[in-house]
Amino acid sequence: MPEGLALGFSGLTKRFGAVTAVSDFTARVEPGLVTGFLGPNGAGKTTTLRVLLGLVRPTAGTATIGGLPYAKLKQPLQTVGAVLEASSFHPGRSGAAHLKAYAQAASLPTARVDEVLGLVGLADAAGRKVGGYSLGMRQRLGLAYALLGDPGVLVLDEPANGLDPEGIKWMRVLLRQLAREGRTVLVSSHLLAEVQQTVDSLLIISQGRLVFQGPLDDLADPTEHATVVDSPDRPALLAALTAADVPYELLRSGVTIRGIEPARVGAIAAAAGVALSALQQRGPALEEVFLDLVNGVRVHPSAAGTVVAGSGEADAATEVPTNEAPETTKAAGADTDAAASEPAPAGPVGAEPTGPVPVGHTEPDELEPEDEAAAADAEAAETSTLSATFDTETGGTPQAAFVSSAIAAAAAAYRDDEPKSYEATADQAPNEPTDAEPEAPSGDEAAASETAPAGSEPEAPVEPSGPITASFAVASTGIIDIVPPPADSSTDSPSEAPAEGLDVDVEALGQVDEDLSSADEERVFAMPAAGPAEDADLPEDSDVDVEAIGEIDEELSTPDTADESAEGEASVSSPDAEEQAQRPWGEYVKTEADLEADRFFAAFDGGSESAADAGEVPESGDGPPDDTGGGQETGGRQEGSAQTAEENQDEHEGGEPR
Amino acid sequence: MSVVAASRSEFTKQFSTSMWWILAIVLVAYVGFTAAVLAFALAASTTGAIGGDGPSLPADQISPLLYSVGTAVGYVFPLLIGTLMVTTEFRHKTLTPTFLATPRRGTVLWAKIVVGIVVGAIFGVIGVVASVGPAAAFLVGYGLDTDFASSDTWTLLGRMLIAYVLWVVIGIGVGALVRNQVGAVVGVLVFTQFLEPVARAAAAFVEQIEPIVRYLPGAASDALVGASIFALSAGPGGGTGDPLEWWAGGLVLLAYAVVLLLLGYFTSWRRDVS
Repeated sequence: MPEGLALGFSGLTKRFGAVTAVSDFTARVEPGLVTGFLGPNGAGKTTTLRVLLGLVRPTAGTATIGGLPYAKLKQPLQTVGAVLEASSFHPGRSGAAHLKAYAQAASLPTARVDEVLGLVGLADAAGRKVGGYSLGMRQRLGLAYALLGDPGVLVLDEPANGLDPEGIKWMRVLLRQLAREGRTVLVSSHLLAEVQQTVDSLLIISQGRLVFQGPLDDLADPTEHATVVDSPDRPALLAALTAADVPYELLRSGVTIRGIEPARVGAIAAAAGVALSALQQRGPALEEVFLDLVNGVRVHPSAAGTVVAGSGEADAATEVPTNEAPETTKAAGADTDAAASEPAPAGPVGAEPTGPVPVGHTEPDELEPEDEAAAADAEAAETSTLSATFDTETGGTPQAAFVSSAIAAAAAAYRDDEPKSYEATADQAPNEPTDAEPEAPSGDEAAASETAPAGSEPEAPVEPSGPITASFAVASTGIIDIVPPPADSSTDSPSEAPAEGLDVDVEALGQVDEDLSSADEERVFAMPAAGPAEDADLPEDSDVDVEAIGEIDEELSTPDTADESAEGEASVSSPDAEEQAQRPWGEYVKTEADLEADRFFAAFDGGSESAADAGEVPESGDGPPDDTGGGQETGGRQEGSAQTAEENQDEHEGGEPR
Repeated sequence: MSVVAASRSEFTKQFSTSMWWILAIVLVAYVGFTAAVLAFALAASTTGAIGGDGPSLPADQISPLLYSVGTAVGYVFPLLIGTLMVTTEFRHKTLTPTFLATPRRGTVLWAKIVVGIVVGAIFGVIGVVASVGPAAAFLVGYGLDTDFASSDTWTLLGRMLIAYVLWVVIGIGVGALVRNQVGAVVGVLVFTQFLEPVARAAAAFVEQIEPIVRYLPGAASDALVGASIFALSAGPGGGTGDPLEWWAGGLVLLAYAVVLLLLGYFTSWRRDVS
């Protein structure tokens, strides 16, 4: 196993004539992490990397790999793999010959060429001339070159350039995988958003100077997190907040509360009996922080001293209790990176009771290795992706751009307490050492369950002329998407009952979910609801309604395709039409990728009826808690129902079957 | 890391693109055509088949003159090969992976020289065959002696191989020095096809520059080989004035190679790669 070596830059300075490309650059890159090397174009990233690799001679200072300059390495390719530019190939040479030449230079067996070509998915193109390669293929070939010697250190300069979304995702998974194996991975980019999904740690360089060094979490001040909440009954909400002595700002899009967790806000609202139409965490705008750092508007202390990667996590954990459980270690950065900071475009915040509101949405990608049982699927998918399948990767990171990624951060924050929050409520709080707010988990849940009646109470023309079918999508992180009942059911309100039933039965659902899932983390359930009035007085943790479970399962067994459109059997025939009818925000022109996705989902309609049956439910409930962790998460939170639209957008972005 | 590993790498690089065989084909066509035309003309005029009052060469001088066409007009090909061996690395930026795999740049240059010698020998064989084949055919056709029984002919052919090898090494030096592929190729063509021939032609009439001209690389190469069609074209008694000894010509050629390589190594090869 190759050994990851630390990279060290010490007082590195490089001048090209009068131009100083890199100025007194001192930093350290640790093994076992993916370190992002960020900076605008011309900031000196490439020069720094080239100095590290011995291609450019520094004017002053040193750059070392495991303490040695590159030229002193005994077996350079077996120590460091580097991709520096998209096109350093002779166009007339085949990919295999290109690699063979360098395998020979490094005294590597020629068989290694075929191995790496397979690894990067170029086996079929190996004999073709590089001149006929697409840019993405060239990037892959460059990566194959870097991996030739199975090095412990990887240095990649803008590796995502020219890759399609699939390729970018593949690259991310690969880099994470490599870092997990203990290698040192240094990835440069000029886009924060590009590496945010991948990196654990960051170096930011601007005008040749280091302006930030440390874990991604350190980049943004945790106090810049804000919770956005809204209710159809705003005065009541404001009154409740005032009563709870919570400072807030009333904006057109809702009420913004700084420095307080959504869980607590939800709890306050629940305590006051205020129905919420939206509750989300808006992450700090990392991109803005990044730009501020780059422009010198903001100065981070890490740039001056030597902040060792990882030191910031404790801070984050204390200040944002639910954000960082202590056991969350190295992938923590990757979790919060979902705070991609674009405010959710998907949130019709309370404006339309009919329009279910996204309380949260997250990418399954957020699952981290530590949640092993829970994330077993995701994990498997991630690793199998290495062997060339892109489609199994769980979440679709590109969706961050579309989805309320701020909420994803919130969801990531919930992740830690999720396995507990359904088994009990506030008792679980002690499990979180840094949790200053014992009610957080339960508040969470309260908030979630409040969402359901939110629409029903104020509007309340609830005349169930037939069985009302409410449905919701459950994300792996526990966010539930409420999907509206059919238009003809003449009610605006998804019933509370199904949600509760689900809550109670999370374990079983979790199991079912796993059964159904093929690396897919997100499930959509449709279930018939009794009249809301009937269920209104059910306690939150009411007993499992066995029949309901049966029905849940029946619904589950109609796969996550048409029921994503969520209206039960009737709608299955014309899910698209229903969708359009139900979701005004879903009106967009379908791209070819969307249509393809629709076909893909439609294929499940007939296929997986027997995926889960009622008989399994009790049994699965017995499963070890770890096993159902994912399921519990799944059962947990309610999520806005822009789900389908979002998913279609996901398809649009990623083009992947789910 | 070692020169051996780097040489294997360079060898793979050299023969994994189509450059070498395209140049080989052009070499065969160019040299072969020139040798055929000259062989026809010289053989016919010597035997009196085509009359005329032109000077006819003694029959024993014809064969070395024709055989040496492979170097006298073909030397630009090994020079180009050597130049391209280096400048393609600059042009396609493959120097980055090359130097990553072999951080010691001197090792890379040595490897290129080693491969250049092999490639020069291969091209030498091709060039010799391309010139000797048609020439011998015409000599036989006109009933003249091919001189294949003479050891002088075989040493001439051997010196032609040495010239090819040295020209490749000079080309590597030129490539390392110039870096820019287009510039290097244009420079090589202009010098070998225009400047030096003009200078040598002028030397036939201006005696003062003759001592300088004979140290030009093309003239040194011809001296090394020991025969050249230029001796004929320069006019009777003109170019044949006072050529260098063959070994001296070889040393001059070698000196060109060494100087160019050293210049290239110190001024260009060790520069930053970006």
